[in-house]
Amino acid sequence: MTDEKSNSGLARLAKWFDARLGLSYPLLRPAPQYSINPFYWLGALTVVAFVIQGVTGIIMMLYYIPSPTQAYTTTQFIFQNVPYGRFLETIHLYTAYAMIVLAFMHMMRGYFVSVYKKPREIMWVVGMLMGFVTLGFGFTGYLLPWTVVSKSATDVGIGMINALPPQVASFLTFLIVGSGGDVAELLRFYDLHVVLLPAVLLVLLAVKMYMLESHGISEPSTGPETSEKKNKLIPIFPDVTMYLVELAMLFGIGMLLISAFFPLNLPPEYSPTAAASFTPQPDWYFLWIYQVLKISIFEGGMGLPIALTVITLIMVVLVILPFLDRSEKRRISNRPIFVTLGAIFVTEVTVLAYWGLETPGKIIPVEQAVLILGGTALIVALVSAALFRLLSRGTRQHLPSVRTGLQSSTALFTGTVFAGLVALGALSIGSAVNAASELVLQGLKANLELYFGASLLGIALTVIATSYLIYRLDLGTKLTKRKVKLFEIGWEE
Amino acid sequence: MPMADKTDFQYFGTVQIVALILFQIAVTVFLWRLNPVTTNGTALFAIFLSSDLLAFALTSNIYRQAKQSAQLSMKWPIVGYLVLAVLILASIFAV
Repeated sequence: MTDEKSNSGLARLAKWFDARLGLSYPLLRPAPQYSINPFYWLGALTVVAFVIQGVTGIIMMLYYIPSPTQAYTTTQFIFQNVPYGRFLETIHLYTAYAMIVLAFMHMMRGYFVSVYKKPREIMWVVGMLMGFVTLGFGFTGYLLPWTVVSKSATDVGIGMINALPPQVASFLTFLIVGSGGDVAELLRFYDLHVVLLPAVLLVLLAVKMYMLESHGISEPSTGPETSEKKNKLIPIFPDVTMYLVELAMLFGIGMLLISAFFPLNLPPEYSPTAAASFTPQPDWYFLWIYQVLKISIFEGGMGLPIALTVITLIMVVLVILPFLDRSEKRRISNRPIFVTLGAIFVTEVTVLAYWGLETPGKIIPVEQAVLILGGTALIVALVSAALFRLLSRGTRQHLPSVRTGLQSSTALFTGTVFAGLVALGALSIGSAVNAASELVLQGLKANLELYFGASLLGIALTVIATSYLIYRLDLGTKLTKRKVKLFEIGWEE
Repeated sequence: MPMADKTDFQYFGTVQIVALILFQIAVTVFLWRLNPVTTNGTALFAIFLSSDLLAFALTSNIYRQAKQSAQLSMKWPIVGYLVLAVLILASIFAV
């Protein structure tokens, strides 16, 4: 009886709010049960990060003055005098980083599970534009504290604009630098950061949400969900909303704890003298572009415009992807080429960013770039091909219905060898990057040359061993004979 | 995982939700009393605000489960309570 009373009390309270706020009115399309999964809500978490950015940014706006003479002083004031000021600045920065990571994960998840296919092509394009706006937030916000690190890196970025076609360059220069002085530049960046970009992002978000409401949540990439339980529709409020609240709280907890225990340190103030003794380097999310631009072939003459054209082309391809990939196949296992290209893209961006972090200001010889980027692409392609073979339906069809203990152990052994090769490949590439950068820094030394040679040997061995293993596994060709016991996968001819 | 039928859960879930709401109120009061200037104050603030958010997430999870399913899985609530305990213990070292 007591239980019924307490439940009816809560229920009455819920009904009271519902009657007044109309919370349970089915305004939005219900979502399928299978969408109760964090991977379906990476975009929503990006919006949560944006909201945290907005709240912390508005508090900082109360103290910050966007002028070259006062920007650093007011930032320092927030750090030292405002209650929880340093904490606030740290949360703002780390959440910005999280927003970029989440947006990238959201994009790559969409790519791999092909959510961009009919009828969601325009949703993808709008999402990509939102991604660019997010990067724009990073670029414009980075300058605002007016530190030697942020100002120097931003100047390098602005300098790149001059390599663009004259009409585009003059428009962009006017947009982000104005008359060209520090005062106009900082004010433009501030206006873009707090007014224009948020407004553009909100408009794009509204457009995307409208399309999401029209098309609904995409089907799983494994094909239409057959389980009745998972297909069951659940209302946006309270079911999905409560789930999003849980995710948002967990995200907030992560941000709070990281910000409290790894607080930000404010670098020195910008001055031309301080900048002269500093090697400019962009923030991590632009490092991959920075590293491409440092490859020796892109230095001087037409090199920079060519490099920027290549990077722009990559972006354009990503934007118009739905119109390039017209196939109706959505399953990951049926799209080996696109999945492999995506895996190569993610790996190359990661390798370039890490490499850029390790070699600030150093020009990269073109041979080294070809070796590292080509080697990375080759290894990822080989591993992807092998995984597709191992995981594909065709492979499973060849497997005997009942495995013997020996067959299971050989399959396990083959899997372990693959994992070992991936580890060796990653280690070798990392060592080669490290050795190459040491060679550039310290000049030719016998031990460094040996180290570099050993790393290259490791890469070569990985490539050869992976190729051989894939050859033995007879990836789709059905021409080779399986004779070597060592790599026998365990199925019968 | 421990499971309970809906009748048990309605009682058990309500008790948990009420306890979690009381905990959130207590933590919020504590947060207002913290000295924000010291470094320790910031760490304590982050830890207790995190525990507040976690308690809110747990409330939401239990309510959602009660509404959606006839049976209660305590997997995530137990993980949440353990993390809550760790956070509160960590606050001792942050003082």
